[in-house]
Amino acid sequence: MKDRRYSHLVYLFGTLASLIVYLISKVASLAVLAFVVISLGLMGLQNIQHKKDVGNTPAEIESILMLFANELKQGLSPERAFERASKNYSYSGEGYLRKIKEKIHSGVPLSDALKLEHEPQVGYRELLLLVSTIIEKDSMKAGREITQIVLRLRENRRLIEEEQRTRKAMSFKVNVLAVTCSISLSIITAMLPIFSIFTQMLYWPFSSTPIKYEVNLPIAFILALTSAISAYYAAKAILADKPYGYVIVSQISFWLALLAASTFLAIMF
Amino acid sequence: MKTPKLKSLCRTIGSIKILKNLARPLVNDNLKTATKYYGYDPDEIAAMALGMPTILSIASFFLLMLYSSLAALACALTIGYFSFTYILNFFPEKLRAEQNVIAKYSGLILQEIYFVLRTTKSIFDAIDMISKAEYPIISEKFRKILLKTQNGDDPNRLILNFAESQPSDSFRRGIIEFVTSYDLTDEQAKEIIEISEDEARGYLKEFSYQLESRLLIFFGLSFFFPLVIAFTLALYGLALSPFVLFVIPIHLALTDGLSHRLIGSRIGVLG
Repeated sequence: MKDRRYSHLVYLFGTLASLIVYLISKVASLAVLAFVVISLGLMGLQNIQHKKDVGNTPAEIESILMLFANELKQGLSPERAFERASKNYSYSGEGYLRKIKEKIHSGVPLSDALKLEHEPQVGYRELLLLVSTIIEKDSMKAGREITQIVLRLRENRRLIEEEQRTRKAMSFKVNVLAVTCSISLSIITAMLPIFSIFTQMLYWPFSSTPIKYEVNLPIAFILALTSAISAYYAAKAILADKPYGYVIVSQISFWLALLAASTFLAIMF
Repeated sequence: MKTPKLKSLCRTIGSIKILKNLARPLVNDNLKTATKYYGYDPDEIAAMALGMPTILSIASFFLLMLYSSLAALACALTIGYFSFTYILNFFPEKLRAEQNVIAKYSGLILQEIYFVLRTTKSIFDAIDMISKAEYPIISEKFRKILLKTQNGDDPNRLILNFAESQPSDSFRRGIIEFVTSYDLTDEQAKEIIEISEDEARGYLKEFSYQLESRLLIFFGLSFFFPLVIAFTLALYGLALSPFVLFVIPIHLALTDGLSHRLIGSRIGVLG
């Protein structure tokens, strides 16, 4: 949700900046360029921030909890069980789990450490609070309970991964659709002057103005950008590794198709 | 959303008999359930869904008529249609979102309730634990229940009332079974929790099956919008106007909204 708010702010800021650029320079293409540069720049900044924020993955937390539950079943104290679980499992060593370990080393009971540290993964905060409650109430039975919870979470993960695979499997379809949409838009852009000529002939049949075929470049830029935006969002929806690749492909096909269609139509007229 | 102003607005519009009668066919089971949950009258909401867009459409039509009557009509119809759908679906969608959130956390919550009841045999402890946890929606409701129990109300009755009033079916069954049956075996408890989790999993599976068609709709709309705009601009000779610049942020907002609503998974399971 925060991501969406940030992107809305970025678009708003980009629009305002492009308007200011237009008011100062009176050049529409410069304003469009300002919008694109500012939006992409701010989005890039957010991505860098995201990369810095990465903590433990849900799979890591689940694996540690599974090992922790097994150690608890052996009759160890929660703190000792956590120590041994994190020693036996090799993970990135960063993020939430490292902070918990530090807290335990400084003498904080595990149940309190789990409550004190904030886990950024959605849903895992609640899970770890539940683990904290369970070990606080009855650490002898906790191992079995935690195992059950983690097993159910793994079933959920399987479903999530299945959904992600369904999305990724659509990459070919999305690529084809993005290219088709871009080509169709560019052909229509190339045909727009013909529609204008027909309209002109319909309303002013005896006009002495010479009929001339000329591609409307501002409209072409706008449509190219809109197809790029659609391709980017579609690529993000299917969890593409490089969404900008889809944008580049859609842009290449748009401008190539425009060039071909406009040349052909110019020869005809 | 449940403010006296909104309620009085609904009541005022709902008091117009013709509007209420005309809107009656719009009332379906979803609307009835959702409005009952949030304490509104479905007939009044349906009347508002019909009345408000009419007012907005007429106002926008007269405002834009000075510029172009055709554009004014198109704009009025668009505003009318979107506001009608928004008002009519507001409560059902809000309830569905709440249902999704509850279904997502129901497994953890039921596990916690079962564990606390099994170890301490105290319903007070279970309420206290859930209220202290940070489950969205549910913890807040349990805090209210806890306050009522401190005033002397029967906790079992309060929990059962809450179970009846909240929107998730499997969560309701789970709570009722845990609170009323004292001799559940671990296997039975495990099965109850798993059934409650299946609700969220079902929502996710349903969404996965629809993904392809949603993606096609997304492409169709995000292709159609710039096309219409391009035609309009070219035919009105506005291609060189600075207003052309607004097409990009509008398209961006539209695509963002569409991708969020259509293809962005708003249904989640923990994991």
